[in-house]
Amino acid sequence: MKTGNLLIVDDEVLIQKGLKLTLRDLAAEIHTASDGLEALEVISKHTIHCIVCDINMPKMNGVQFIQKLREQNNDVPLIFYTGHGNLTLMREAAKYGAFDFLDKPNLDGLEDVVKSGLAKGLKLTESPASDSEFESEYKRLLKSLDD
Amino acid sequence: MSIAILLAEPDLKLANEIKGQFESNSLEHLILSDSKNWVSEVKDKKFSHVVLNYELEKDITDILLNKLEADHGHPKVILVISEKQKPFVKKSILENQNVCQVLSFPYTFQQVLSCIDEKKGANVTRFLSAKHLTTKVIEEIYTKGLNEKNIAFAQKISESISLMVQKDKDFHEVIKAFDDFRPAVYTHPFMVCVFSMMICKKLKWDSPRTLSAVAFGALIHDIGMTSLNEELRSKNPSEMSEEELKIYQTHPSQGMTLAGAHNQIPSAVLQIILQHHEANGKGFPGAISGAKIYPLAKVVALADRFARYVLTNNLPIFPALKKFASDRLELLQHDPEMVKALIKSFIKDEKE
Repeated sequence: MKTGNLLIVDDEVLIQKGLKLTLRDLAAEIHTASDGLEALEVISKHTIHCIVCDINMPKMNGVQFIQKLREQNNDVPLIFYTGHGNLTLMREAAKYGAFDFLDKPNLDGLEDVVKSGLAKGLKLTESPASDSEFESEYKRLLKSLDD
Repeated sequence: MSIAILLAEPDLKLANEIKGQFESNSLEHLILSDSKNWVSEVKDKKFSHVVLNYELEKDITDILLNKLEADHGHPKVILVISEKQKPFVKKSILENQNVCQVLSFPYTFQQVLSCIDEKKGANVTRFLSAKHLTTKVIEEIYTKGLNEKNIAFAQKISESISLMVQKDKDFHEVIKAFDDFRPAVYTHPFMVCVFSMMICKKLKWDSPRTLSAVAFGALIHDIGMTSLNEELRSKNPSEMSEEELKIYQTHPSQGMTLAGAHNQIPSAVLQIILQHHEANGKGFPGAISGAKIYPLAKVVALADRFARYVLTNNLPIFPALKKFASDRLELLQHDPEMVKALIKSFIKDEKE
């Protein structure tokens, strides 16, 4: 079932096309961008529920992109799909709340992660459960431990 | 007939050990340490199983066996004999129709459980086997460093642990049977892995890739500790000086560096290692909070805190869980849905 809108950000057009094909059954719309700047423009024009993003890109890399997103109070789930190796960038990426990390060229698990990301992104648009609902369920659980 | 066990065992130390395990497993039982009190202690009682140590009263073992059949519910008998005694035990005793198993002395609770409940016994054995293998590989990683071979082995073990937790719908019963949570350096990663898998199961995070990353990340989350000196490694953070604490708090980053040198280790696992001490603004190295913390790292962080909580409070698992779940200061450091999942993983699901 197709739910939500996906954005794929990668400077390699072949990878954009490959990912779009692989993930076509998961999202209602799939947009692409070649760097962080272009991605910000897409986001300003379309509602996006999940992003798959490379780290190493020209003009604005993946870390600069997520930093900008979070500065704009945009908590859209962002999945870094990137080559293994640049620990400096990985440490930077850790500060801004990525949803998940997958290593190129492995596609194992990508669909599951994107599905979860889209679900999370869609949930962000719903109103959260009330504190009192949570409290009463929590109290019930604590009581079960006594039983 | 529901399970009710008579343990006729003259060795008081072993009898008390096994009694403790019966209690942890909520198994109805009666302990007899000599046959003098047989008549008064077992009068009118029925048993499903009897563990009978031949040493109790070797001359009248066959009489006892007959009494059990006639007066005490026709129980299955697990006969315990030492190697020395074996040649002298009467054939009629060994071939008694009620004797379902012969064990050698000394025996363990797991062996008794296997005879009583094959499935439960098998699950406990599998758990202990996984713990043993994990301890061995973690010890090697901590003493000799990461290499291609031990990384591959640790990945395989983490997948087995994940499968073990996912497949057993009564896994919380296995945890109850195992109440030794004194996490030594090499067993702590195993418990963090087990708790992480239990949390994932209740969150319904069942994709193989996610489970694999969390399980492996949990196993090697503290690899950075190997970069600290021996003295600091064995010290509790609450006892460290300011200077020592600063050094200690570098271990997640050091761990990412150590693990990052190996392409076999996925980026997701590196992030778990880096962020496993983040705690809603009160953690390190980044003091990040909420959505900024990598979700898979949050699971391992919670499992790690809980495993340490059990140790520092020196409590059995259930009382420790109740205390942890009521500790407001502790709870503020974790994702509330994940804390709920941790609690739920120790409660039998009514829907299952």
